[in-house]
Amino acid sequence: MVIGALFLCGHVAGQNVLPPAHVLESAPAGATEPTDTIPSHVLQRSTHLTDALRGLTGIQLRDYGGLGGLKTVNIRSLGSEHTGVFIDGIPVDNAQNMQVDLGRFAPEMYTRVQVYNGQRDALLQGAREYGSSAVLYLESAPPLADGRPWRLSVRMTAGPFVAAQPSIILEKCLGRVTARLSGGAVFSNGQYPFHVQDTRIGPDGTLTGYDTVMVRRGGDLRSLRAEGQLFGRGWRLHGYVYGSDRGLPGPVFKRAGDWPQSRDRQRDLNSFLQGGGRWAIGQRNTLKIKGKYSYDDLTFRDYSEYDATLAPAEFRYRQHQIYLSAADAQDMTSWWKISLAADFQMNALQSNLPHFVQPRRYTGYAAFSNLWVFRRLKATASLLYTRLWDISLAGKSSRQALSPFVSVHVRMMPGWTLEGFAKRSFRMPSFNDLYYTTVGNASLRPEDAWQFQLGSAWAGGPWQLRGAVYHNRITDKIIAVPAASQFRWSMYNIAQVRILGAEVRAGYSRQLGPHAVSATLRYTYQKARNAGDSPWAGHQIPYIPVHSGQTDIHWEFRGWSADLCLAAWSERFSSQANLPAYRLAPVLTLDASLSREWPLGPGSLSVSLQGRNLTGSRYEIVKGYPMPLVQGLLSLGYRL
Amino acid sequence: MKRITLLVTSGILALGVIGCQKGGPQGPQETTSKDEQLAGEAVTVGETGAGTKLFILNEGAFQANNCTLDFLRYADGCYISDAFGKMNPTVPLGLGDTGNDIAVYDDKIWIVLNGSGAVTVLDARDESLIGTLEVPAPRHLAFIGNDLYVTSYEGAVWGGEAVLGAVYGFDVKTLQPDGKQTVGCQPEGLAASNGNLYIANSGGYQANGYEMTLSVLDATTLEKTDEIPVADNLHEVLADDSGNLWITTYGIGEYDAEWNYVQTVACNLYRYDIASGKISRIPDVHASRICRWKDGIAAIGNDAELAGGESWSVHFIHGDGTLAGTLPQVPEGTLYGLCWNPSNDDFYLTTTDYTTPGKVYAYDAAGKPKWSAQAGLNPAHLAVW
Repeated sequence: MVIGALFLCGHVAGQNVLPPAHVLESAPAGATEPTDTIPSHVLQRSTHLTDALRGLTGIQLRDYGGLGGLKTVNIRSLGSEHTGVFIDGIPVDNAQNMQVDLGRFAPEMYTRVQVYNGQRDALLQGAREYGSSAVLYLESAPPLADGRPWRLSVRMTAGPFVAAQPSIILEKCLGRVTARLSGGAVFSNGQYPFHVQDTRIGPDGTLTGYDTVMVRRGGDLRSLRAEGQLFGRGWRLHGYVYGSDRGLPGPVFKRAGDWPQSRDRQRDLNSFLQGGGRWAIGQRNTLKIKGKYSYDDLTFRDYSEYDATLAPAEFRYRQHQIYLSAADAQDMTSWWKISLAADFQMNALQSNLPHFVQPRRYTGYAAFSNLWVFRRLKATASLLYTRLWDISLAGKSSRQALSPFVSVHVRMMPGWTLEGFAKRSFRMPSFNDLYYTTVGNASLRPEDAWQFQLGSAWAGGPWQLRGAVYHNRITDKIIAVPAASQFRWSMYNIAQVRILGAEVRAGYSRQLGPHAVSATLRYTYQKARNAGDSPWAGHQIPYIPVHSGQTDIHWEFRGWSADLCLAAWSERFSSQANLPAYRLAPVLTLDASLSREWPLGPGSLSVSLQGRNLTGSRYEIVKGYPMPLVQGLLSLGYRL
Repeated sequence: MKRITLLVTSGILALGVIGCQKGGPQGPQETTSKDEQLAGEAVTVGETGAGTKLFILNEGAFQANNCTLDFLRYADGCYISDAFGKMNPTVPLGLGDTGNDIAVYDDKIWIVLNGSGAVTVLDARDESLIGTLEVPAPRHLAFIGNDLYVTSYEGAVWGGEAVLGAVYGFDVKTLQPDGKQTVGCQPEGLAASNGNLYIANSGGYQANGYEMTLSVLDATTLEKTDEIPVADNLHEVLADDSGNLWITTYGIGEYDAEWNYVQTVACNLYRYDIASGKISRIPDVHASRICRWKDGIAAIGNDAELAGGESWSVHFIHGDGTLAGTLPQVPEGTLYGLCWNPSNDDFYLTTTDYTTPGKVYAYDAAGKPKWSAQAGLNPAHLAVW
């Protein structure tokens, strides 16, 4: 996947040429259309990655509110543990709880984000890319594709009660190598007002209730991020360091007197160094090698809510990860290509928790995949073998699995394709699931997921249409929900889940004189039912709405651009018992932004005004974690 | 959308109203209370001589702010869910978080809300809110004369700095605080007998070993007069009418070589004869929770509760320590709460699966099932009025 800069830096600096369509590392051979894509211009104008992601078809974004609140994605109700997150083809991991916090990645670093259900139909991928039920790819492109020698952009975003968020990107040509350096910081006091309210028929038969405004406190965030990328011919390197100190305000519940909700705090250090390269071996063979080392250090401090003078309980978790991958693709004939991939991974978790078993996990992955192309028919078949060994103070254990995948694409006529896939994948219990001393459950069974999908895509003129129906079957699904805080999880197996879903995406984009207009409409239907032997069989699993959708409208005119985003989802339940006491009401939110760019001096100045939740919806994504009401943000940027 | 919510809510309420068919004999008790018009589900025929109401406190989930109060009205056999919410619809955030104990005293309902740091006081006649007492991390309560006593963990957090717990005193008429005394670490149950308070210290948050004593306080002065060693990790303490204290332990669990959590010390039951000072373990009875029963107690237990064991039993024990019998038919699920009604000898049990609404089961004096009802999340504590 690493193909490097296609352009050597030239000497056309100073010319005010518009950059060409972003030259991404070209998609791997045989890659098909993703389920959904977030394009560059959306990422570049987003202040947070999750703002851009939440519109993706079939995605559920879990957000605990505020800038410091944990943000994870779940695709097609399979759970965030089944969603692989890859940065330039290299996995982002959290062996402790398998929840990748997307809040710490900067959208402006990436050129596009793509979602694939099942897997990407492509050769020359790492073996791990075959292992998830759904994959989210964050992809960056080599900078300065337009041939400039350097580029600098700075941005400052601030809002009345949320944050100051400066960021900088410097792109530079160093002979045959290009570099991108980026830094960012977030300062937020995390305070925002929210409503607690309830309405019911009172004892005298009249409608009554309460509606009280409270202020979310204890959710402050300070973070610093620094990262750098080097792109050569056929290789790239990416280093990342992120540090943060945040309050964990916890869920909203009733406290007597002036006692605070929570004084808990969390400090993080996340870092990685990753890279890879590819080499052609002869005419028909390509080799790709990539690797990563990451170190994550998290300190959780539990302070007494009743007595601020007491020393906190302090729990520290350190994770090391080593990932190595080699993939080789060979053209067998003009219509048949194969690929072999072998990955190795080591995860270690150390903690000062009492009785902690200090687990290490060694995992080997081997994948074999085939791609056939006959005229209008394309088919793929792959098989992934996974074997892992857990070694801890509690002893050794080993698990293995086979994940097959097949897909077929037929081009019915120009612009119209039919496609289908079937896949079996599974996810191992995380270290927390197995060994966490207060909630760990060694008897948890691994999840086994079967996916089947039929879909179709059509494009014609300014229109693009895409639809799919799918059926997912999960056995022994593990549902993890934070109990006491974001950091303490309670978990249970819902033995069987059957998911029947359908999704539609319609896009329209057109140039009308000086106006460029585009609109996207997405709709998802999901019946995700508990099918186990339970009194609540047939009920929708927690936090999955049956209906959800989003409309995005983008308009550009002579340096002006405007965006409108309307998102809505139907009722959800926070428990596997779909009773009124656990119901979360339907939500409709409206976000809008307006920006203008002017030439100023040698560069250009941009001003952007964003309004979030303009309808002032009082809503929670996770029960007990209120989201902010109307929120305004002002961004100032300068680009050289 | 708000209108839809309202429609749904009122629809559910209307269903509840239709669902209750009043029947059976009307009780002789004068029920002038405003909650009479609350209609729930008729789960049994009305009866007289059983008292006015059976209150069921649903703990809810930790920090989920979903503690609720249910009651069964004996006069018409109606079971009413979330009575606090229905009778106090304008109180923000409802009853609060994580109920841990309930008692009816002086015609008031006293509810210990561990997560909210409060003892909430309601009128027993109509569940209307009278007042809220602030107590950090309160656990259990007991009464002597005009005084309420509540155990508290104070500011302790698991794995944090060691902090002694305390007993807080309040006047039941004025609801004003009237004393405080520190006791052992993480005090749990407390019992009142002959002007003394007996506090079971657990030490459950302590890294370097559990507490193992009962602290004895003089109720009038709150002076500490004695420490009675019993066993590690004490839980509940109850006084019976025969001059005994009954004490349970949480038991002790740990990980075995294969990293399975196993219970090395069961939830045991001890009897302390106050007059003689003699202490004895009741053999073969595992007690995760106990309640008063005739001259002695009843206990629910499981020989491997902390490790998730499922072999539940209910024992009835006389004041002299002899076994009176067991409940022949134990409901499915995890037994979570129990209560005895002295007026008609009925016996109540609750069950939970910790994530979805639990159930309440009633048995007559012969142990025959009488009625059952769906409660709220984690129904754990009951009180007869």
